[in-house]
Parts: sequence; C-alpha cells; structure tokens
Amino acid sequence: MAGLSRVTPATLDVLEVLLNGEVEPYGLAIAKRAGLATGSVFPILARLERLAWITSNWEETDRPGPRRRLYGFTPEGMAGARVLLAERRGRGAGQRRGLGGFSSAPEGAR
Amino acid sequence: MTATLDAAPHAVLVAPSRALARRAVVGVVTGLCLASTLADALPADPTHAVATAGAALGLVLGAFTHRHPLRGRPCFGALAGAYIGSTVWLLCPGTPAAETAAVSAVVGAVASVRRPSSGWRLVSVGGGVRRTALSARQVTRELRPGTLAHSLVGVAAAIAVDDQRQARYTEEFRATLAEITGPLAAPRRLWCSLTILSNAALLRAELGEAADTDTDTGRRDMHNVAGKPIQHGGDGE
Repeated sequence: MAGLSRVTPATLDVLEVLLNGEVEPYGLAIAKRAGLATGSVFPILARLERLAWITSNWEETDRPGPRRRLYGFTPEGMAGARVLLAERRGRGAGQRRGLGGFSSAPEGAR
Repeated sequence: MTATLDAAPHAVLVAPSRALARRAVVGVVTGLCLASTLADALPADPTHAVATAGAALGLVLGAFTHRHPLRGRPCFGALAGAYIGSTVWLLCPGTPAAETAAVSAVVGAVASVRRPSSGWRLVSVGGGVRRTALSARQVTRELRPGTLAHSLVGVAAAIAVDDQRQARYTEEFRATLAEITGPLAAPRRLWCSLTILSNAALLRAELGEAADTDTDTGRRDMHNVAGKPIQHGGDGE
C-alpha cells in the first residue's frame, strides 16, 4: 500500500465519510455526506482505489437498472485514514487553541 | 410547428433541432474539458466555478450561434469560434501560450466560418418574415435535462477511461443519476452530470496514473531485490 501523496480537504472528507459508515458507500451518498459535488468524488475514489486504500464492488441487487458501485476500506486503508483524520483533528484543535495549526497529531495516531 | 424569427434579410438557417442539441453539448463538453484542464493549477473551489462558467458559456454560445450565426451578432460567432478553437489546447497540452492562441484563433476562425454541423443549410427566402425548422417542442425534447444528463455522463465515461473500463464507469455514473429522485430531480440530475463531466479529465488522470503504477509494479515484479530479472520459465531453465 502506498501513502497518499497529496491529501486535500476533500480527500479527508471522503475518508471520514467512509470511515464513519453512516451512509451506504456509493458515489452519490458519499458526495452528499461529505458536502462535495458528486463529480469531484469519483477522482478521489479512483485515487484511493489505485493506492489500495479502498476496494469497490458492484452491489448485489435484483432491482432493474444500473447497479451501484460500493466502496469499502482495505485494512491498510482504514489504518491510514485513521491516522490522517487524527492529524486533521489535531490540527483543528491546535488552531482553535490559537497555535496556528502547528500542533502535532495525537500520539496514538502516528 | 414553425417558429418565426427576426432574421437576416436574405437568408435564414434551417436546421434540425438535433443540431442545436449537438452544438449545445459540444459547447458544454468543450467548456468543461477546458475548465478541467485549466483547473489543474487552481485550488478546489475555483475549479467548480470555472467549470460551471464554462458549461454555462458553452450552452449560451451554442444556442446563440445556432440561431443567429449570420445575423448582426458577429461577436457571438467570433466567441464561439474562439471557444471551439481553444479545444486545440486540449490536444497539445504544454504548448506555449502564444502558439496555442495563434492555432486556436485559426481553428476558431475556420470553425466560425465553416460550421461543422452537416445538418445546417442556407435557404434563400424573400420578404421580411423568416422561417426556421426549429420547433420549440423538438428543442425541448432534445434538451430535456434527463436525456441530456444521461448523454453527458456517457461522454464523461468516454473521456475518463479507456474502452475496457468505460462500461464500468458508465454504469456507475448512470446509477448515480438514478439515485437522484424527489423534487426537481431532472435539473438536479443534469447538474450532477455536469459535475461528473467537469471532473472527467481529472478522473482520467487518476486512472492513467493507476495504469502507469500497474505497469511499474509489473516491471518491478519481474526483478528481484538485486535488480536481476526473475526467471519464470520453470525448473529446466
């Protein structure tokens, strides 16, 4: 598994949605939950899939029409996502304390 | 149904409504592709603004240049020409700006003078009343948001991926559209398809990198840690 070379806020939003698991993990639902434009989610998902952070499969359904593509973390991807999100939370907390975003991630996240 | 236009004195354009839809779609696709290309250098939020502006401009220019290409609105024709010409940029990314502008201007000029749509023809008519074959109903049907949205995601999939993976993304995008229900579903689907289309170039870049990674991985797999090729031939070799 490779690390993410560029971690945008949108990527972190997508990771957070996938990690929370509050919605069915397909493109539109992920985009809605993350507050992103639908189209912008697919390149992010493609990048995560390329890095083997997530995998995708067609949903198994009998309903007519096009099938949804469901995304899910690999074990490595889930660990990486947790680290990145912990770092973001750490930065956010640091900024709230007036440290200008230079706070480090929690110990356990490294 | 025949619509009456306040058109040029001696010529009107008779064109099927498909040409209008086609030109509008070309405008949108061009605008979005261009915006996506330009957007690489921009942060995330302006990307969407540029893409949206490109799409809107494409639609407006498509509509205007279809209905009034020979009338006293040369600016629209010129803009449309330059707009079409600017697609040259997509074909030759990295070309110096001056050369790109020159080539774009030439292609744009040709495109604005010689309309590429074969469905267009000039008909000489007399008198002040000009007619066109444009039917409001036909135009409405061709530009129905639902129909257009499905076409646009098909185009997006074609832009984004190669033939092998196109079916996957087409189905995924169409499933996404199908999930949009409720009030104003049709325009929301259209908007969704536009955002997908505007990110098609980026998706293509990501998937292209994936292909490169696969190739590199394959190459690495063929070598051991000492950098020597691993023989897969069998015991006898």
